[in-house]
Amino acid sequence: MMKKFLTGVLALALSGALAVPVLADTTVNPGEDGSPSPSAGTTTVSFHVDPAYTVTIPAAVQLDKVEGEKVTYEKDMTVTASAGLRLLKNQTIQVTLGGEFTMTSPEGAELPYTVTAGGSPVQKGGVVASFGTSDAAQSSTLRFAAEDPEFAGQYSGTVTFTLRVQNGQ
Amino acid sequence: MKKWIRIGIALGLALALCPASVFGTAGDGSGQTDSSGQTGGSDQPDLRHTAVRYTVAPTYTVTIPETVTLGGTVEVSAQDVMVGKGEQLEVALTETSDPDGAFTVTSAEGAEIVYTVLLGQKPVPAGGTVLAVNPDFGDSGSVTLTFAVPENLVYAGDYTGSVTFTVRIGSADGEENAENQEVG
Repeated sequence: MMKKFLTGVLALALSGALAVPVLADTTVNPGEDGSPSPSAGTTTVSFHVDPAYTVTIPAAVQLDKVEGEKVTYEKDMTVTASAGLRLLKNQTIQVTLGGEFTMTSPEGAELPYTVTAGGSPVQKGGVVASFGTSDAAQSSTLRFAAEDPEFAGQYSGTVTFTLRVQNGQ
Repeated sequence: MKKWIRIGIALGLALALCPASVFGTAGDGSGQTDSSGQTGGSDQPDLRHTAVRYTVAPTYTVTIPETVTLGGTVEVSAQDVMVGKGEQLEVALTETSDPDGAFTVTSAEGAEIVYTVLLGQKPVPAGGTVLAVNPDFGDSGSVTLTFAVPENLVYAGDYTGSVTFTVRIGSADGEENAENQEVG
């Protein structure tokens, strides 16, 4: 008896879980007094807009020698977001910069460098650009700068740009 | 013989005293007669009046679509329309989900898209009549409404909103149905 009862309860629960509300048009006919019944019908309007963005990060930056009071090696590079960047409202794309900020030569000489964005120093893993929904193109310019190295050589290194979509307030 | 004469007299008396039956043709609906009459024995006809009544209930079936996606169309239709003389069936776009009555859809993040409802090439104003069926010109009608997507989409997201169509019986304006009616 108990088994039958439990089976019945399970069947009922399953049928409830599988039931899907069926959307239907509203049909209006005369009511008892001839007036429309129901008197109105509602149509749900919907629309989906996909996010879209193109962020361009240069593959390489070659530092140039700058002759001044002190010799330095510097170069600007620009991270750009194409026009028409579209996100959910209050979202932004954040670009962070990771790496050791050090170049090395095949001979093992090291040359540290600094990165600034808008004149402000960028820490390892720091944000170098933040782009929001906009019809216009957006950009952030970074400056890579190193002091005059002690040793000659072909120095190179890598940095990693990470893009994340952030939800705002 | 006497027996047969008695039977004949009894039969004649019975027929003379029976009320006359009134026969009528049964109608399609609710026709009935209220009273019966019989003629008396005087020279003047004994007149009885029977009220004949027949009630014709209004009929119509209006279909309002459940959903639409911006960029798409919906058909609002009315069929088998029968209403009183001088009346017409009307369907109006009376409400929207926007508190200000604009045609808008909104996303969960609060972004808003303002769209336009077109009847042909003509924008339908909120509150405007989109369909009118005047039985003098026909018993059915339909209109196709376009829910147009604006060009200046800003934010991504899933947007929803609603519009409400109200059905009413109005005074016939003497114009042809649906397709030839001015929206207003």
